[in-house]
Amino acid sequence: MDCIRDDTLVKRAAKIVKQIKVYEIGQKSHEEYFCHTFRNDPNLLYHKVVDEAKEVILPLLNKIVDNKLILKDYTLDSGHLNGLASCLKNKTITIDAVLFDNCGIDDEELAILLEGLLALDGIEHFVYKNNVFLQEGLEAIKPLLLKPDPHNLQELRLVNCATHPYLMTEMI
Amino acid sequence: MADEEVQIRSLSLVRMQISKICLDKIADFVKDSMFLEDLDLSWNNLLPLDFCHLFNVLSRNLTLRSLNLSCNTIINKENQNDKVINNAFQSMLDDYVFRRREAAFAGIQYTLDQKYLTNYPVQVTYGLG
Repeated sequence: MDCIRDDTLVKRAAKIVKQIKVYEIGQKSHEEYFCHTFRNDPNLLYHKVVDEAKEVILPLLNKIVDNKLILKDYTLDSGHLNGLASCLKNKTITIDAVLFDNCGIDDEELAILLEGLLALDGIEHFVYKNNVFLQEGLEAIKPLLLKPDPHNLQELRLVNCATHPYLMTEMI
Repeated sequence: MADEEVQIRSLSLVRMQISKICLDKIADFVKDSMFLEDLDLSWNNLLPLDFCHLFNVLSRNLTLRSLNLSCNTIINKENQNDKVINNAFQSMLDDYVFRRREAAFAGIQYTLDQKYLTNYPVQVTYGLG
């Protein structure tokens, strides 16, 4: 009697394991299908990068209005800027003007952002206020300044950033 | 920027700890630039002597329309030692204005707003008329 019960239990367990495997395979293929279908979707890319950085996902891409990204008192982490830079490098979004005012951006994050902006064809206005501007930012901004016409930067505004006098001299 | 071909039209370096050396390099950039229209160097704690090179090369630039130097010390009327610099500044400014008036005759209208030209802060603004 016990043997029969064990047999039934084993069969049931095997059935459950099989179902789980089928579910897992299905889920995996669904994810693959989803990722493949929306591989050029900026939101997916941004979410993926921010999620990998284990940071809170902020609706950064929703702030782009008329190809302008204007952020004031909007604290960002490196994950967010990495996500934005990935979208910019992938050319899935277009921006022609950016303003970052008091966003808690440090030098390394600025370099990441500028690398992304450099990949764009038509960035015209770069306004950077009340953040940090140091050596890495300086090195990253140089190629942006030297972009030739018609993709050249039209406006550069650096306002009240934590910097060093020699960096400004080096930039000019 | 001063050595390379930078085609920027508007440059603002506000409260960015600009030094005299940096200002001299900016002056060189202004001298050579054929694109720069707006320059804002306000709030940099610059002193009268620092501006000499910039004012000397201003007359060579043909594109600059707006120059904001507010909240720097350009003219200190109370300090007798700065009298020479004051005079030099006035002369350079007059020179620049004269050239702009010449430009007005050439079909481009410029107006000069000197109401900000007070002791502190100083803002020199040239705008299209």
